[in-house]
Amino acid sequence: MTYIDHLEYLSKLSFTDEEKVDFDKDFSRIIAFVDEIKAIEIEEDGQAPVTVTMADLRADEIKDSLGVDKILANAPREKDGCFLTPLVVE
Amino acid sequence: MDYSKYSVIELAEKIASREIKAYDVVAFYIAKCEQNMALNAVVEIFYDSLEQAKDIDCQLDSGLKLGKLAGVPIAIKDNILYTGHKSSCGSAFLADFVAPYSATIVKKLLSAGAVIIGRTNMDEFAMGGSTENSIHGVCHNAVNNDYVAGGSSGGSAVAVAAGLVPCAIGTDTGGSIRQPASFNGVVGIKPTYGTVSRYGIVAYASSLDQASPLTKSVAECKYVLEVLAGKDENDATTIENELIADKKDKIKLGVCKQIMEAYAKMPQYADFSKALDKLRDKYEIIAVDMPHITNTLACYYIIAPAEATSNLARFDGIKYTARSAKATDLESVYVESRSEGFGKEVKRRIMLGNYVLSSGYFDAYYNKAKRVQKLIRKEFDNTFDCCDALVLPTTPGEAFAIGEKIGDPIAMYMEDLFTVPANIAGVPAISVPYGVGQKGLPLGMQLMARSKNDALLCDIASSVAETFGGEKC
Repeated sequence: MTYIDHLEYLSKLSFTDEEKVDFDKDFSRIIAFVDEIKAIEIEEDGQAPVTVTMADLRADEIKDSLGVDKILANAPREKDGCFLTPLVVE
Repeated sequence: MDYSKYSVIELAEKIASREIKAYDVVAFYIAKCEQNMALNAVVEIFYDSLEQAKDIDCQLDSGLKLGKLAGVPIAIKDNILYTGHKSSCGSAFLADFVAPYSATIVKKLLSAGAVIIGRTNMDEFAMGGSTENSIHGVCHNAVNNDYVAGGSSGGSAVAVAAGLVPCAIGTDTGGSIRQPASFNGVVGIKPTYGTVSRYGIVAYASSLDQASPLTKSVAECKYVLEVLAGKDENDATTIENELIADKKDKIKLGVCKQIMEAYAKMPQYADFSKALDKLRDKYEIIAVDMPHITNTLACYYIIAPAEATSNLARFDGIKYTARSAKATDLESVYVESRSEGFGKEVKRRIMLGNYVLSSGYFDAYYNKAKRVQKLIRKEFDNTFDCCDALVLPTTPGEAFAIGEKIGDPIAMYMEDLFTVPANIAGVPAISVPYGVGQKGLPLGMQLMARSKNDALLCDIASSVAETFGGEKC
């Protein structure tokens, strides 16, 4: 399995062979470009910045939600108030 | 009556005082949009806005006092949800998606009395710097139609620059408001991260995304930003940011050595240097050292795709409008729908995001980028101990020709070189027009300030814009 096949699998995408060749060309350049961060030396402890703490979260209270009809209005397929998918369990 | 001569603030005042009618203003701007559909800036006109304008007139005539934007027409980017209206994000995936609820900022605009007259073109899922990657087709630059609008909020910038609307809302993850503002000669701000709620805006990179107005002047931009800002219980990342600044007599501007070194190789360096000389009469300008500022671009193209790949996982062919006809089982519902629904650049960033997050690469890329982000934030903090604002170009050059960079992702990514630092650092940044370049297209000057100093940034930007004859109010 090539790295593109692996990424294709992780991304839930499918490319033709021609698209893969095209993708590989650009992708290698992009990786080479972002590789510059590997050379940056960071002396201090590298904790990443935290955006949200527990204190920022709202109280865990039950509130009205949008409702089934509104949510299903954009579904490509629905039946009996549910999203319809191909059979998953026999 | 030509209402385009009035600023957002003047329109609001004149409508409130009943000198002019909201309906006439909205009808005027809708006509402007209809006459300029070829620009591909406004992709849908919301005709129900005419009824809303009538209601606003009735309420004002009956003596009711309404909000500070009562009757002012505003357009919103195609990734901002407005109940009962389409929001396609410029994507085939969401071509028929109708918003089941309104974004917090839409509710805020409506409760301030604004009339939302349409949605604007954008790069698909806000990924791009030209508004060429859109299901609606290419958006054209307002000054020269053969050139790109910039992106991803290209439609919003062109709509304001071409006078189709006095204000449009865009979103900025790596420069998507400021770069098109620069390309079209208008003002665009990216506020401090957390100033504006992201609830109801289709997420690209959640830790970097901010929505904000594009207008013709800084004063108008701040006026509308005051409506959008505020803590929101539906977005835990929102902060209190009062947008009030103390008057400062002596402003010190910082020019970053590393930015100027990078810019020296670019065609607009001489114009920018001349503009800086002009600013020296008014401000103290000092050189500042930010050794890692140019690394922010690489950092951005790791963090943003990593977040995008997670955010876009929800588009599965089950919940949102599009499902491939080729799908036969659950796996193929996902794979075929996503392969058909997403465009090339979006797929590229999903793949890149999965690459930097995948086993064996996570530490070397994503973790490292987050650590570099911390380093860059510290550099910004240190810089703002020495100066009130940083001044730098908004873009490497003027707008480029349509088609010129679409086949070269790295060239397109380089467009973000000067804008991404503000997103990575979380600080506010604004672009104001300062002149025209060698191709006769607008050039933008960018200013950045310390987090929560958005109001001071606007004061400085307004004064900078006046130096170049730009401010109107």
